[in-house]
Amino acid sequence: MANKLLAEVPVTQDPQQLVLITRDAVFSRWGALADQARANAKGLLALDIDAVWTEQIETFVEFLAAWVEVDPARGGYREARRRVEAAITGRKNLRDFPAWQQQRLGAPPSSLDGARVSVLADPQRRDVHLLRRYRLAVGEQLDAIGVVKRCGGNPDQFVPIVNIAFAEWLSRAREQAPLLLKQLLHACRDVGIAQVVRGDLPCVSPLPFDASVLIPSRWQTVLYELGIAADPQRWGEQAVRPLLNRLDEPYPYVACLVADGDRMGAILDGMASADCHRTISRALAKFPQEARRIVEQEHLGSLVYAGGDDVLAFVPLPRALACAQALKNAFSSIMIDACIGQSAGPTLSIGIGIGHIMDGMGDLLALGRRAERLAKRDEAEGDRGRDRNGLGIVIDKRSGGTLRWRARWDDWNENPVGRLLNDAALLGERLSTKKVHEIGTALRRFPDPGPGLDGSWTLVLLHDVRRTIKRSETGEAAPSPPQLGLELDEATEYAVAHARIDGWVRRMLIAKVFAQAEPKPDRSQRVA
Amino acid sequence: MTSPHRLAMIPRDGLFCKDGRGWFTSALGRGHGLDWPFPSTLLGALRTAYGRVIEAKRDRPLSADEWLEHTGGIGLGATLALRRPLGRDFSRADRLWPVPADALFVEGEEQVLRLEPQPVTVPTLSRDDDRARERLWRPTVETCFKPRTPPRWWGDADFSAWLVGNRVVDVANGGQGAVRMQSRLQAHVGIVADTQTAGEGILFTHDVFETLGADRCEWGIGCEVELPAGGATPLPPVTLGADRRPAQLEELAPEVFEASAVVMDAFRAPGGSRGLRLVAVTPIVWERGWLPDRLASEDGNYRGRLEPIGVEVELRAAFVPRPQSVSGWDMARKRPKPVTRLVPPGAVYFFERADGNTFTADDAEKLWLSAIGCRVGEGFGRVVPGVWRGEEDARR
Repeated sequence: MANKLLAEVPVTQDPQQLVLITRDAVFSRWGALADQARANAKGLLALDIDAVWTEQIETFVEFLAAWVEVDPARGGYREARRRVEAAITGRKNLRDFPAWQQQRLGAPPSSLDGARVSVLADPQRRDVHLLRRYRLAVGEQLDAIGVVKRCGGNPDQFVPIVNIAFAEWLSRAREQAPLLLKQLLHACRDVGIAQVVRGDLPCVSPLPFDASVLIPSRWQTVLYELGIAADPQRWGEQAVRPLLNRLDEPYPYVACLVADGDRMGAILDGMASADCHRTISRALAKFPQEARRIVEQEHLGSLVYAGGDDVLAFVPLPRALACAQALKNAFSSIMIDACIGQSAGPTLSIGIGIGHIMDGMGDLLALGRRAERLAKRDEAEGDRGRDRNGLGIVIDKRSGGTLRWRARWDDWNENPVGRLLNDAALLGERLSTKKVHEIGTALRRFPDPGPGLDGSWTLVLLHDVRRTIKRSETGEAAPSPPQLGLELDEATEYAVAHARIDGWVRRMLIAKVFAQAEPKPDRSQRVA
Repeated sequence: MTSPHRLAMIPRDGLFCKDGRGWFTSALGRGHGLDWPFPSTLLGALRTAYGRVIEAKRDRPLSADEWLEHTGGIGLGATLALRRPLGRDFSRADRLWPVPADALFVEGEEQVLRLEPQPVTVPTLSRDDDRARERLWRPTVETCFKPRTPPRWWGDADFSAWLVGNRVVDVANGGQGAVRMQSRLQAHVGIVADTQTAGEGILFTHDVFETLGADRCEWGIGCEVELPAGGATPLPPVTLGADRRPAQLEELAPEVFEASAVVMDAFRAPGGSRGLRLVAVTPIVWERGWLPDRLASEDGNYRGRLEPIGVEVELRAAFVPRPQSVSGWDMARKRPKPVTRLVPPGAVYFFERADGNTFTADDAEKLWLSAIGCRVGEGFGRVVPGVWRGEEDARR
């Protein structure tokens, strides 16, 4: 639901009174949710938490309201909205937090952010059944807010990140090895692997259990945390290994997709009346529904949040690029309809942050947000009128290093996704990754662009790159630089040529990750 | 009896000062580091180094009570971020300061915009009913601006210019490049003895902030320390942060902590300063969270005594970002310390004198790196003053 409400109130209604009623309703609802979660988690909680719990719950919600009169003589709706927005923005410069008055001496802070003291009982005094139900790790600590999040609903409704990451792989497994998958499903049920009860999500349907079982190094931890007595290695070898042998292990990375409309503030600032604003708001309200369909039904992902022009979702890596393209198209189409009379509708910048499935959700989200910032603007590009309307990709490889690449949606013949997919295909067939690394290594040996480096450096650099690309290990004709999406013009300045090749190397290394993520064909077919 | 020392801690192997998040599952194995240590971490490092010297002299470990007895008198005063070219002594020019919360960085703007508090014209209501808080002045922020994430640090010249009301160039948009500490992820791999391969379950990573840059500059942490007189000095290198990374100690010249001449001159100008801008340069612990101690609501205004200068003031505005949280481990009692909420460095409070007089250079001298709030002996609560012209600035 929206976290910001803008209301037009009749003159007969006292706005302050309305704010007070709204505030009471917000706190009352939040309190009820917290009470329910506390009741659910009773066997996990320490006994001395009443005061701490109340303080943490009562100080959690941030509430801020401002109101002004819509005065036609003072600019009407547009000016009133500007003033109320400015008041809220100005007021947000003071985050009026209280100091903690209640403590539990000797109790650790929450493991999630360390911002509040834990309300959980000592690990040995926690109800084992509830530990498993709410998937609490040994030694994990939660504050009251963490308890509400973890225990407020049905834990089986939450889709583990790993299920999303492996959704494409599982989908292929259902087609190519249905019997082995069925065997795994039965084994999960028999031994008591945690279920995922989300029949509405296609990413869950092939394996409605925690897909961590598909990672051999996790067998022991998964079974231990669920309190399952079976020998993990033996169980895994029997239940999971045959499927892994047939299809190769799934690629352990997942995409966090963050989308945000460009210059929406300016568009809303231009609304002359509440009716115009409502028209845009109605159009914007359509987009989240469409985003949910695109992410969950078409691309095997899971939508975390969609409101207005914002989208936050996790999607399997092989589907991430297509999903981003579909979201961009849907947003353009909806907004063009809503912004009739304007020369162009707003655009959507989309970031794809790619991280390892064992990274915390907070880290994955941070990667997604970083990618979104990159999509909006590449600091390295400077101000060259290329900001926004972008696709940004940031990959944090567990084996070290971060890769980043940005394109605008109107680059590459308005098809940057096609370019990247084409690159991924080239890497498997006509270009070895080794050559990409070679060019990257050579580039690092060339001097950094700077004053005093003339065009002769461009020639040396381009010849070196051409020679590497042309060299053929297989005897087949090597692809030309233009076929590889690499523009090598000897008339360009050294700094431009250097940046262009650097960008190409980064793009190819990112394409390689997408190529690796693609599930491989059935081994039996490969042999044949 | 204690004796004052001014020291620079120079981390030799980067910094990893873990934040409050836990290593709570074997699956995650990821530690997150702070980009700058809390003062309490620095004090802990100094106390540990001091205690170790005593242990070495006595040739036996100290008990928990002995640790408290021997190191409890060590106090930490002001702390500073420092950065210098290699091979040079630290000077005032090498100081770095947290970027104040009244500085607004906007896409496409060459200058940093100044958020000027102005009297309230639009009523607001927050979590609870506090008339004085809702009457605090606020900046007018136009929504057409697209704010950027501010840099973490400002050099001494930019910070001083800001404190006296001068313009500052946004280094990312038009200047020479912001000062930034490079971070990297350090992976630790465990080897499974049976297979001699890396064990996924014992793989863990954490942030490391590098204190030696490719630009041949190194970072240091300036500390004013009170050590027991005649005790174990000089101290050996300290170990700092979550995995005890070594930091060398170096004596600092007193001038490193002295007040900025530019700021003092601005307060010396005829008429002094109508208002006072107080910028937090280390985290502050107030008894009531964001609200400075000793202020009480009177007739819809916060009024009270500003301790370091002992005058009655009215709080006109407060720009306070979200709180930081600090806990830590109580080494003596072997248990976690309570969680405390801190006003983060960079927070800005705007005051006017209740008697209508101006703030003088003498006031500014007293306020420079003075300690306010709670836990000041642990290095928390250090502030510096800046000029503010009150309504005159608001009108501009």
